[in-house]
Amino acid sequence: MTMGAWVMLFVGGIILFGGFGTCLLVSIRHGRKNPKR
Amino acid sequence: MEEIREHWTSRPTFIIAAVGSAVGLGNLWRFPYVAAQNGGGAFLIPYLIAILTTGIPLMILEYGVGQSMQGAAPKAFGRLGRKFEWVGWFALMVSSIICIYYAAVMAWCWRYLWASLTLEWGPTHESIGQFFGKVIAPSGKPEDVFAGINWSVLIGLAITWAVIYWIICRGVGRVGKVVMITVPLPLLLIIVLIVRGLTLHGANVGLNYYLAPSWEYLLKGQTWLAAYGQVFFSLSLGFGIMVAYASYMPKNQDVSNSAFLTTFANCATSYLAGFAVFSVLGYLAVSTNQDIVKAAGNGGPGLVFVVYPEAINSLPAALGPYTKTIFGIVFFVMLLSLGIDSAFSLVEAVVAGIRDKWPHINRARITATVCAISFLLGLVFITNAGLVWLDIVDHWCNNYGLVTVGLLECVIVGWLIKTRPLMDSINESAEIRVGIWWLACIKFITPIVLCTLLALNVRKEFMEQYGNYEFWALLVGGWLMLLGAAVAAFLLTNATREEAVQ
Repeated sequence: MTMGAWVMLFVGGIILFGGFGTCLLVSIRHGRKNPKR
Repeated sequence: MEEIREHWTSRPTFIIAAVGSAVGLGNLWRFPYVAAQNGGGAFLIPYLIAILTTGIPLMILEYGVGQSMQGAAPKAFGRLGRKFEWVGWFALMVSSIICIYYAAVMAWCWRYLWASLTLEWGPTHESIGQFFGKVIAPSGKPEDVFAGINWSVLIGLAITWAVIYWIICRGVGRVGKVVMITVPLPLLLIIVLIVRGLTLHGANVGLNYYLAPSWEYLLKGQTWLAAYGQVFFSLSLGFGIMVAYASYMPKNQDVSNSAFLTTFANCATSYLAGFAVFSVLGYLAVSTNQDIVKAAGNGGPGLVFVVYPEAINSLPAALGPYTKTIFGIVFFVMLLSLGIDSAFSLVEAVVAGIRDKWPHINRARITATVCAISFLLGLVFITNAGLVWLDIVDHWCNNYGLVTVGLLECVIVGWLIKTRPLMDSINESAEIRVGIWWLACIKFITPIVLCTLLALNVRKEFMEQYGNYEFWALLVGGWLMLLGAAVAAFLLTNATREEAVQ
């Protein structure tokens, strides 16, 4: 695999899985701040 | 008096069900190819921008409309304005048509699952082609629709509709339980395929084809349109599904962050599926001494029913004599579990729409009627000319039906109604507040992109005859089918309302 392919492999993973993880964290933090919901 | 609407048991159940609906066969056989053919790794940049400017805003719109109006697409859009109810019915008509042929694709998967037990497709490239021809595409002529039915696929079609009926007939309670299996299962199986794929000799050749960036593609308009098209088509937008699913959410639950989560989960699955596909295709290319571009083909049904069986045939017997059979079973079970939640979500959208309008009719009876009619109409797609008609109907439903619905949704919410109350309703319990960025996407960016897609498709239609099929077939399976859907939507909109009768 070329260096570019390796870089994009990690960039894609970080963006998509990172995006999902960040939203999940936002949801968890929001839930802790608003326990009634 | 209005019936109390049933609700999802929890917000995670709703998100998992929505992810299950969005993640389908297209994630496996479309995304990796669109990426590889539009700049490889560089495609991820327009893809991400398309996610943020079209995918997520439109998902928030559909969730917001469904939740705040507490109704499936026709009722929800009807509550935004009486004359908009037609848009909801049109979305459901297009969904019904898509579901009819989607079930036929699943029937092929059942047939191939059965075939994988004995590797019935034979050992050579030619025998696999012949098996594909026998099971899926006996004829390339549209008129051969009356020349006979493939009885072995008929069993698969009946199983598919029976399963859909069983899941849907009891409402979202059962859907919520089923998605707890059908959503994680294909993910797990994709990971199994990735692990096996990456340990094969030549996997790096396939992954290089998938991910090596060609930056010059970023300057091409076609790459950006491919990214926007991929995001729009892969998120189950414009079907009315997300509106129906969100209508089962209580009003005090967040929908904006749910839209972010659904979209990212869907797109991450697509990205992951690319590894399962291209690692094995790299191995196939190296082991058969072919160029990766030639070995990979063009995706679509050809990938799963021709290229993948060939790859299964060429696998080394690492797990003993049954390695190929095990690999075949894993692959086709993954396809079935990927497809089933998309299929029943399409039916659920239709059932919810009908039930909103005629609440006195029993849910199980509506579901049985929809499933039975769809099963009978679906016979067209398992006849000798089934693949031809599926290709034509799919082309028109996706490129015109869904794009039109998406465009109308943006125009209605962005321009024809007061958007502020809807935004306030979304923001009331939002974890990520929607504001000017969302409005800009809904009012300008998404409509411009969808208009461009629509205009380019129409232009292409007049420049060249789609698939070189005969004109009458394109007229019947394409334009007349869409016209029929529009007329049916009009008739349903004007059908007597139960409340009015009472």
